[in-house]
Amino acid sequence: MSEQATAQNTKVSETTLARDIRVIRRFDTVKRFATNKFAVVGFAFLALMVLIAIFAPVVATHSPTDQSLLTRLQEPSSDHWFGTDQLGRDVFSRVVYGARYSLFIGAGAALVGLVAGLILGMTSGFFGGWIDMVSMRIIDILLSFPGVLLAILIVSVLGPGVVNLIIAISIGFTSPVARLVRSAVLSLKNQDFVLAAISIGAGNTRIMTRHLLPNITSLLIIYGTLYFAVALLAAAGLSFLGLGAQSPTPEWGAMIGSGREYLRDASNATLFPGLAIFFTVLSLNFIGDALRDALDPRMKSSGQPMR
Amino acid sequence: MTSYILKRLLAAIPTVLGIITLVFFVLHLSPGDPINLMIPPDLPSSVRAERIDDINARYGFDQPVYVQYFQYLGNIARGDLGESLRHQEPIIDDLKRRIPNTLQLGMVSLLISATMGIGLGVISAIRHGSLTDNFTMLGALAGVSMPNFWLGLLLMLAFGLHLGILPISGYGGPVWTWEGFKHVLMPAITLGTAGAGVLARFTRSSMLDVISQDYVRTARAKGLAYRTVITRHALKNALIPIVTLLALEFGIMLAGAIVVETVFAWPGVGRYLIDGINGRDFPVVQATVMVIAIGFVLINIVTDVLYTYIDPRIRFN
Repeated sequence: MSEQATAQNTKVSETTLARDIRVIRRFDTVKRFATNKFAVVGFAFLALMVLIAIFAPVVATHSPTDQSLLTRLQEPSSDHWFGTDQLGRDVFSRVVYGARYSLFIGAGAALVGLVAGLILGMTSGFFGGWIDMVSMRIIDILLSFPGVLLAILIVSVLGPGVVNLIIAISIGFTSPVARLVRSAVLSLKNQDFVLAAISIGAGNTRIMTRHLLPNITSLLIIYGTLYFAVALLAAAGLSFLGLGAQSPTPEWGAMIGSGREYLRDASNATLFPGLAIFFTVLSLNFIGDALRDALDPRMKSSGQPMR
Repeated sequence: MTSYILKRLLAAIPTVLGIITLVFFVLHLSPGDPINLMIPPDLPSSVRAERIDDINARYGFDQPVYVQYFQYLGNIARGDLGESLRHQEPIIDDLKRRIPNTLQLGMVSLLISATMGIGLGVISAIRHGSLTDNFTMLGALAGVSMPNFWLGLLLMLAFGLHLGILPISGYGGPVWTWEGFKHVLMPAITLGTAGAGVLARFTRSSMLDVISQDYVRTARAKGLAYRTVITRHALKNALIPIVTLLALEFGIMLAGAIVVETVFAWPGVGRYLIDGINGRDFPVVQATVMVIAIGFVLINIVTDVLYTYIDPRIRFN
């Protein structure tokens, strides 16, 4: 009886200890992240952009799509903070609403690519065999395309539009993530804790989600942030070319694309959406760098490995 | 070395075949029939049907897909990439004219990237932790974060429209002529900025790695000048991974050129692709995507060969 109680006690204290360690580690990560000034600035800016996107109708001073031929191509003024574009639309309000599209497309593409890559990499790394063979060959071929080219190919087939843009860009992320996850899983799956889980009869799904996944989350978070930045840039580029979000949609890249013909007379219609893209991507890169340093000190913060 | 190169080239054949296959089937088995991509959607239905029959007969689109696929493979093997739907000219001739232009742009961009990136990276590493270092790295990240088409428009606005020193767009002849150089400068800076940022960051960390090595300390200890140690001992070794990245950047630039060429009306492969997409010229899209992707594969091979060549540790393994 008493023996049982002691055993139970030890068990309880062990789990609380493990939890404490986890909490301390998490706190440590947050602390390391917070000491990086750039990261804090980036995080604040991104948070601001997210708030602007959510409360766009409140923040915007005009409708993003209302045209007014009387107020075309105006310089910034107290009424139109960022001036107006070639159709007399308020550039400030368009940039504000544009945050919705650009952030959604960027985050969406990064997330879809990450999840698809995770599933592909996890299954092929864990099961091996022919699944691994086939998926790795496909990934090899996909990796031989520069991401932008792959996205352009897919968009040219699917046609323009926000959802197609997300699909097109995310496919470029799937293969590098899959490869990364696969190699992580390959080295993890023979470690003692996984073998222990197998020996007490844990199922494949349980092992993958409860034992392998937690060990690669920091990797996924780092790549997710950097891919968010890459996706935002790529989406803006495709929309600029006319292959992404279409004209009345106030997506930042598309705004630059339609404003560029009036560069001489109204550079503000090109300047401000570009600044929005630039600062958002810069913030994301600040955050990504800091996360990399905070979550995995062994990874060196060198040049961006993926683009 | 030769056998290694040969081996790599042979190993690339399945990849290239994979690329051709992927591009072909993505364009053919897409939900939108390729023919639909080629015909403006606003045509009356009778004209539409006639156009569809025309195109089918001319390009063999009424054949089963696998027949078309093998025909296409055969044509490629004979150096025939098909015909542009809009100009009715062989695509291979267009590409022959345009590939050198894109390569010129890419080379100048690479030169700008390399000089700026490696230079700033070395300075940053030498003054590690200083204000200069912080500013350089901030600038490098800014370069990576900037949408290149936007940077291009800003340059155009400043140097072309306001100051009027550089031509706004177009091709002015080979880049080694004065006129050609003036034309290539803005697109090349636009295309090279992101690469310079990546290279500066990478050079810095690579240099920092090397500077802390024993042989660098030994070289300093035996009384060599700091400059000599940096250039002869440190940089030489730090350059090994940088060269790889440089080649990789060149490949990424080929893709980036798609956007930049469109901004500056540069008559290269990238602009050809975008014109093809906008003009629903589907054989052009197919051929151009394939050529760029194969170019990317070749650059990767060159990278690996270069890497084994400059790093004896790999060569002898």
